[in-house]
Amino acid sequence: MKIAAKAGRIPMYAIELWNLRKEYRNGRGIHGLSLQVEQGEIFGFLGPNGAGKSTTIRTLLGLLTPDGGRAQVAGWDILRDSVAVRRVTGYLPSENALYTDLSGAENLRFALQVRGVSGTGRARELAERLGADLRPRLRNLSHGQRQKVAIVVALAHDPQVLILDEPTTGLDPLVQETFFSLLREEQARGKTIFISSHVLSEVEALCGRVAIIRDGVLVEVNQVEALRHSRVKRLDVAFVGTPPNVAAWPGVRKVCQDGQRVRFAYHGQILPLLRLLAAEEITDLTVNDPSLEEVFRAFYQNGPVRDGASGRAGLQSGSHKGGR
Amino acid sequence: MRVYMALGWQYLREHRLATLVWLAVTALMSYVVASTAPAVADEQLLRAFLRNLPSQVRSLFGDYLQYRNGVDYYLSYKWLQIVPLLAGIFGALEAVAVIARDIDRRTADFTLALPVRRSTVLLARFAAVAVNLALFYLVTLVALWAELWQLGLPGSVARYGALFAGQYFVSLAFASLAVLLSLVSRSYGAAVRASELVVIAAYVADLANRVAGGPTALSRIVLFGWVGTREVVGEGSFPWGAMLLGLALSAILLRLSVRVLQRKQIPA
Repeated sequence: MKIAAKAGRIPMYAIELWNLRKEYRNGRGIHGLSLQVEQGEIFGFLGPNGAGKSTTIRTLLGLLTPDGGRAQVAGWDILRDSVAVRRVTGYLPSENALYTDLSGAENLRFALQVRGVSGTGRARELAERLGADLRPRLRNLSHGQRQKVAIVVALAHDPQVLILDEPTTGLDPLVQETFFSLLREEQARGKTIFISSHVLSEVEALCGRVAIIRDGVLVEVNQVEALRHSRVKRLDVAFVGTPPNVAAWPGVRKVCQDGQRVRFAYHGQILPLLRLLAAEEITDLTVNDPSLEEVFRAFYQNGPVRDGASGRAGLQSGSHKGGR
Repeated sequence: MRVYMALGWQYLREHRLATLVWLAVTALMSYVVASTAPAVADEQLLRAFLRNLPSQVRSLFGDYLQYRNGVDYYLSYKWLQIVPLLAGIFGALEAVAVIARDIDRRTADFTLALPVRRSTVLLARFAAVAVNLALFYLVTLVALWAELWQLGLPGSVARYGALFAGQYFVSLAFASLAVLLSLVSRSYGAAVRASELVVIAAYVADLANRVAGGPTALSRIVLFGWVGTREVVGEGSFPWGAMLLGLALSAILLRLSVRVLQRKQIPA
């Protein structure tokens, strides 16, 4: 089933947020998120629990009402056209939200009937690929099996935009790989996929671009590769004689000294570090790109959050279409 | 209509077991009470039965001579007056589950993320509650009729039906109130407790007022006074007032519920 974007107009971005705010009394929530997710992109939304990932998603889907700002999904305004937003969206919540007193097939039939989708061919195909059993009541299924059914229900109506909140919870590695293949195929068919996660490996394996959210504020939006290259480096330096106090250098963390050899992580522009190294006598130098996990941790260990404008600047610097 | 049907059907399917248990128990109780009615079918036995009734009960149900026959009087005392309390509790339990249970069990993330207005979800599911309540009264009536017919007793089944029609709309109003309470309560459990408390308190207030011979207005304020068995089964008046008032109150309370639901935040 083809689901059209607003009034024949193809929006440039699948998801757009302008200074979106949702504030809770305890100070949590999201505080002015601005973000653009392009059509056909697999976009990762990273952050630990309580950072504001689910709040962002729930606000997009109309489960929460924003306190300020604006957002669109497939060109539809989340407040004015909330029903249309949900029509073009497939949503997989972080915890099982299907009715456990009903079978997978009953949950699926209910969702498709409400969406006005006839035929369950695509759902059957998805269930077969993922190995999801739609016959038993959900309460009789394991957590992983329920998650497979939830994925089938989220994708069965062939949505234009997929919003997945911690999608791989409970899936075994083999099914995870099948699921990732499925998502890549969806991307190849022009679908946009927005994945919220705190599992860095899955974002690294799947996403072209990621946004990192901290305390409800975007701290970085960039290509996965660019993040790895531009931010944190792992260095292994062999000095002549006694090594200098590397730990005192700005941006240096995780220092590990082994005789004249010092290993450390560096966060920041590379030029100042090279100047410091140039002042020393060294015999060997190795620079490695870090894993996304190290990048992520760097954002969470380095002092106060950046303001929203910085998040947007990050977005602009890495705005070309991603996804592998 | 397709969306209403899908939402209503899903609700009925999900609650099928609880509904069946309620219906089965009520039908069984109707049948059992009706099966004890032969004890008062005979005039002599009826008089002996009435002599043993406390004066408060007599004031509640009036003189048996106001009734067509002893069976009507006996069933009013033993069963027909209790049915609206059971229906009120059943309806409130079902109504609280319309939205609040979904929020409590996180299934709201599934249902409210579907392309459907919240008002549609609420109204479609309330329609399912209304169907279940109608079934409740229907099986109660059918069970009564079946046993009376089998025993060849002269019960006024049409009047019982009229009484149930009035009670149905009163129960519907209590169910609507339960929906509203569920949307403003802190949790599903709190909503269940509050709704049940309201129904039981209203029923007890009506009963106490009647026994004490208090003003009719007080019983009418708590709604149950609109469908007295003496008036409907004994005197044969049709409970139009209960039906109209129940319908109007349901409409008002559901409208309020829709407003509250539209502003309701569904937290993670």
